[in-house]
Amino acid sequence: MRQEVLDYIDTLSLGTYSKSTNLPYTASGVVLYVTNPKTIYVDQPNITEDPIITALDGVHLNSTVQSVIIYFSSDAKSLPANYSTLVNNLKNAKNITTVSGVHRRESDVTQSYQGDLLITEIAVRLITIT
Amino acid sequence: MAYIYPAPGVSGVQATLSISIESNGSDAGMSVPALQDVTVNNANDVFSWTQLDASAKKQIATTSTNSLAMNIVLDGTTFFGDGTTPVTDADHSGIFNLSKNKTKVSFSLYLGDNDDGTTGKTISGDGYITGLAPTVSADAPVWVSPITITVDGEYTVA
Repeated sequence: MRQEVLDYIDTLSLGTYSKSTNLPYTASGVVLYVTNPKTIYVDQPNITEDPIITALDGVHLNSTVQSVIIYFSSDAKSLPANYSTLVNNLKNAKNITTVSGVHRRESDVTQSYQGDLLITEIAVRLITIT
Repeated sequence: MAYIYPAPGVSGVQATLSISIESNGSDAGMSVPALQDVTVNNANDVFSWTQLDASAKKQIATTSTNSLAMNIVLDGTTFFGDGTTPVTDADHSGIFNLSKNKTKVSFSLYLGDNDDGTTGKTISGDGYITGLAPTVSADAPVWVSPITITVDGEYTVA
């Protein structure tokens, strides 16, 4: 799912932002998206499975939630003009059609501050039956 | 004590239901997959009366209404039939057509092994498939359906 989200970001007009294929790891005690403002990072997917149907002959159908978090930071003192548009577009990564079998799509946007940086986290969740 | 323990998913131990066409004694039977639950109903009618020398009603059990109720996850082949086995086999018609055509079926419900590992009981009989109501929703996009087998006559327990 991470690659599909990265591919989706490639189709967007990012303006002064850029995309990195690196994971948002911590280097010298600082996460990359704080070290490199206006660079978009996509984390590895988290996957959870909850059984929704079980049968006496051992059939198990699970609701599988795949989620990735998109991270980037922006200068809070002067937000880029396309910030809101970018957040909306990234939020719509939930609508990617390159992951099959999705019956429920969710996304959340969370914002926080670290010094003069506005940290934006966009969680995208795709739910399938497996 | 020998508790009935139909370990789900354990071949030969789990509860299973087989359906065959009653008029075809050589029908090997169709194994109904993905049973979610099974309820065996044996509801006796009761005749009541009062009498002057008794302060409470007198009752006696008369005939019973028997049925099996269950829910299944739909499997395309067993629900609509494979269309390849002989027409006189349940596998050919599938559950939906057996219900639609009011075909009399024989059923055999294995309750599962006992907890001491011995072979468990089987309830069998004849009846008709009714009560199909396949349903699906966007939140749970898997077709499931209740099924009732209304039993014609008595159960046989072996």
